[in-house]
Amino acid sequence: MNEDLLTPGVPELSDEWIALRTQHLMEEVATPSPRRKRRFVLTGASGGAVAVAATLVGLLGPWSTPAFAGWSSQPTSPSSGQLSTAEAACSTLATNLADAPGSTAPATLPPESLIDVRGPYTLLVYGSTSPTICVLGNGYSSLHEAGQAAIGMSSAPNDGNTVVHQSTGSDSFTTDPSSTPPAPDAAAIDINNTTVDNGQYFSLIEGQVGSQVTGATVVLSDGSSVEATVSNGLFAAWWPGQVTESSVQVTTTTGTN
Amino acid sequence: MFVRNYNDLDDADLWELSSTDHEAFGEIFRRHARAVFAICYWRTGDAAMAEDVTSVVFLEAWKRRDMVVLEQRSALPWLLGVANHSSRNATRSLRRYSQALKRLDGHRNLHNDDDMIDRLDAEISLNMVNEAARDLTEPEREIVLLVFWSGLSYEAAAVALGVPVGTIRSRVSRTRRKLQLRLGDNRVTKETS
Repeated sequence: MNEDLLTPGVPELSDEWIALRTQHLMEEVATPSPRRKRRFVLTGASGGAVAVAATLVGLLGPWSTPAFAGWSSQPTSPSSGQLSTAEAACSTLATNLADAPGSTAPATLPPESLIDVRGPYTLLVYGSTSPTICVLGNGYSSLHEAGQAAIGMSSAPNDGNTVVHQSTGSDSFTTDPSSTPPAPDAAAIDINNTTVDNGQYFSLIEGQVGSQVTGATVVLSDGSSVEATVSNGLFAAWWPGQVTESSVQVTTTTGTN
Repeated sequence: MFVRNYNDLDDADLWELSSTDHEAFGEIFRRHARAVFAICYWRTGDAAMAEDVTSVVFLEAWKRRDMVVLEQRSALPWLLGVANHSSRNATRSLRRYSQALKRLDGHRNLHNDDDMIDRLDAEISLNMVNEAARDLTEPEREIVLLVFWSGLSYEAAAVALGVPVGTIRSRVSRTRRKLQLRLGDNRVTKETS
């Protein structure tokens, strides 16, 4: 075994290729990004009307400032009634989404597979294959369904109104359904997403873990980390901002990878 | 017509200029495209896909340009970190920039027979190495890609992966030990530190 073998060859990129792609890149960065399309519908508290027209997408409600107050990089214990409130809100969101014109989303959520609590915020994962993810907290709630229309909802209890919106755009909810189950001591990312609403960024990650994995930490590209919740062969975490994950470090029954 | 000479400018200068001078960003691409492509190719094993992921890396870098971390005034470590991430999830990365890539249609290079032979050789070489490295964990593979093959220093790899330098050191040690056990040879790297 020599050094050449351990450093595999790379196909040569021609100067012509470099020139062409440079030109393309400069054209792309010179073009402003198209504004994401959004629809907002205001309904009464008891109203069931939800406008969902696009076939894909967007996510969370208009997080307020200060953004994500009370959020924790480590999972916390739920407060009294927090889970039942979250579960009820998610069921309502699923019903609203199913009732929306053009939606093919089911009205009933799959079985709950993971609960992640961070201060006042609750993230619920339903199902394990192409899971549905619900995030709630501080008066906001959202439901994310892979391959379906997705809605974000914010409740405004003071005026009794409910705002429902759907967004489309490049920051949309994405999944990688082709990913294969991870090795016993590894994790595989199924979903990661960063979205922005009202200038506030929010990122989440969800995936599968192998049978030997007992914990997972998401290392972000800025060097910070977020401890994920691991449950039922899945892991999930979320964090304010648009910093992407750099890696997922797992703790197994035999050590840390 | 004013033509700027970029030869005397380092990446930090170019990065600062690029907000108003897109040609400066083009110069960063010209400088680092091949190194980024190498990571994308080693990750994907598909030259055509790696070409598009390389473009995606720089589009993503542009989108996240406010977050760039320059290591000794070089953008390369940070770009390789973006490349590592983008090519690890290549399908998703390409989907995210599908519209931008679509605008390349009709302008892509046609490859001749020499190119195809070159690609086949690279593929065979990569397959052999992947076989040797099949037991490595994901963090260990990242060490192989960035430190052993791309030649990043520990400090630069720390920037690329967003982890402390000490973590890089311990991963390098663990990776080298595992490779030596497997290969029975200590000449496994071309790392610079």
